[in-house]
Amino acid sequence: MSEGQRILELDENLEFQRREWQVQRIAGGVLTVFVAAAGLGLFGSGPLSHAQAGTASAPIWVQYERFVRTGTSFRMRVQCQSPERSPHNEALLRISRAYFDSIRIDRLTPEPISIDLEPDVAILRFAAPLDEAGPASYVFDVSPVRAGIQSVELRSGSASIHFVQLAYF
Amino acid sequence: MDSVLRTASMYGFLVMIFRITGKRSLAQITAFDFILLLIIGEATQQAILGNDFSFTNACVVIATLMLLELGFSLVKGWWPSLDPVLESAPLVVVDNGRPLEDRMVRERVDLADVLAAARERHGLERLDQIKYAVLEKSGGISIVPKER
Repeated sequence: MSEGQRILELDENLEFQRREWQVQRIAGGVLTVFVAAAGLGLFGSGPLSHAQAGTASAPIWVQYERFVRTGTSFRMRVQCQSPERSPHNEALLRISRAYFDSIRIDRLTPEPISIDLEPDVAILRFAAPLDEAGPASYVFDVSPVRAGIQSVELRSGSASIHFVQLAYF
Repeated sequence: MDSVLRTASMYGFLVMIFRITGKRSLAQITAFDFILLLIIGEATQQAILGNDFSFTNACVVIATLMLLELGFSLVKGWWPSLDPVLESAPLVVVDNGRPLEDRMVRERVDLADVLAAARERHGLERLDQIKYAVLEKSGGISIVPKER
């Protein structure tokens, strides 16, 4: 029996159905790319996301994640070859205020003695390291609290580093 | 506002995902499909509620979902042409005992599914006893038996 002879009362629409199958095929491809990209770290935690600003021998370098998700913790490692010193011999690390306000610090190793908030910068003060001539290393476990593109600047004395991070909703 | 946006976005994403994967993804067929739906439910709940498990947030989420559902119903009523776009359309997969192979392959329906539906609903034994088998919008298969 051909479709024209079928007596079933039905909202069948074969033309629309063919278009739907085509859209489903394309969307299936997009979904595959989406999952593959996620596996590679486009949405955090993977080769596409792991990044480093500066080199290990630079005055300051950072290992960070390019892509992060709000509410999900990620690790950031900062190393300063010759950290800025306060008059009390504390090691200082300056973080751009806008970025500092967009994150929640879950853990910081070593723990700072204090954090001073100025309009444009957050100043973290750390106890002087045992090897005062050596580099200072800091490990941040942080969670973004706001989605969006963040421009980050870290500074210690005359050395500064800049990178961009995207936080997904 | 955060809760409303999360809820609406997740609702839209799930509608899109289930439209992409076809009608059969909505029909709970095997244990694997059941497990999939359970896990999707868990993932959705975590994403919508986040860390906010308050009574108020739950009410906001539920109200948003019901409003979206109502909105969709109204939109379909005002513009009936949107109905197949939002919810797909039924499709005949067996016509007078003859399986329409191309359609069945595209919708991932096999003969065993059709025969199972025929047995469950009408106690039919063979394919030639089926006048029409229709893959409904819900992903289920409805059977119109031949007159005896």
